[in-house]
Amino acid sequence: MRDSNFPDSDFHDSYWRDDSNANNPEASSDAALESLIRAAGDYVHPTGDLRPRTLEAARLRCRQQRRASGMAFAAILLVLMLPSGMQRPAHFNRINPFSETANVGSLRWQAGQWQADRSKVTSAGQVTDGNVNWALVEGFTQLRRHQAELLHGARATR
Amino acid sequence: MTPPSPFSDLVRLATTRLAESGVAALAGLYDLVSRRLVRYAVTITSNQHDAEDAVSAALVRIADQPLLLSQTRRPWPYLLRMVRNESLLIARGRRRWSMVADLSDLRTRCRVDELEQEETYRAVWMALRRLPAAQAEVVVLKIWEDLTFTQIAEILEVPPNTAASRYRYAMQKLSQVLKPQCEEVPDA
Repeated sequence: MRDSNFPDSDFHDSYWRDDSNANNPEASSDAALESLIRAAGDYVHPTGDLRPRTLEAARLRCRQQRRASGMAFAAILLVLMLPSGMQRPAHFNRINPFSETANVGSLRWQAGQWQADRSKVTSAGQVTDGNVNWALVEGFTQLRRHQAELLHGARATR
Repeated sequence: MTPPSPFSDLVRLATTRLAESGVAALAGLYDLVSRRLVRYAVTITSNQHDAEDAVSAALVRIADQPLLLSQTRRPWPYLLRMVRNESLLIARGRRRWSMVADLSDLRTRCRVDELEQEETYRAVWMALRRLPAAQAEVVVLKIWEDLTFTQIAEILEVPPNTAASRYRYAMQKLSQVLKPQCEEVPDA
């Protein structure tokens, strides 16, 4: 057969295609063998369902990929927006006093506290609904006063 | 370095279309390469079902990331390498019982004017199956894909001389097995 030492692949490639081997019986039998094998190349074909299966799998994969990237984008957006919703800048609180004090629950609680303080002074009576209502008016007045002070302070700092 | 082959250019064109048009253009690439890829993968997996799974997996991956292929210098050898890797993965994972004894798993097609040749084709495929996969795939890449040993070496990740010697050993064995069929063939 052939020389077992091939200096490089290009030499080997040219060796196989070299016309000087045409008269060599070994080379011609190799060529016959190669042509025999080459002819059998088209004998095997893919099955009929491979094409739709592959195309469908590709479509499914792309759809999943798009969905996953959409969800990732939404998650990133959420992560970016969540802290800004939770934490307000300090200067915003200074400019918008309602953000600090306009809370109905805390206003009622404060009103209860004021009324309780007043009750201690006048008598040791319990806090009634009517008293609480008057205390609310007083608390609301104080709140507006406090907001006005804050607004004046904010204007002064500008 | 060997220049890209015309077929490689066709593969690049199909992949560029895939990158531009999305998954809808995969059919073009499939029609271009599937038959060649399946016959190559069959030599590694020794089973057509596994070979088709490998080809399908590789093409789906390409549809997902077409730039993988379109940006390489030689897309066709790159695609062959992808299919080879998928085939090796499947062959290692499944460890099917050897189907060397027959070709019953193969989906074959023979033109009417080639019916006389069918026995010869079967003998060739049978002989290829009896070869070690490492040698058979070199024969397939060399003769059916018309690649140089340098290109084959790149696909198989071996030195070019190793690819050449595998080819030589394979041809020695094939010439013994296919001697009767070779004698019938007129001078090439």
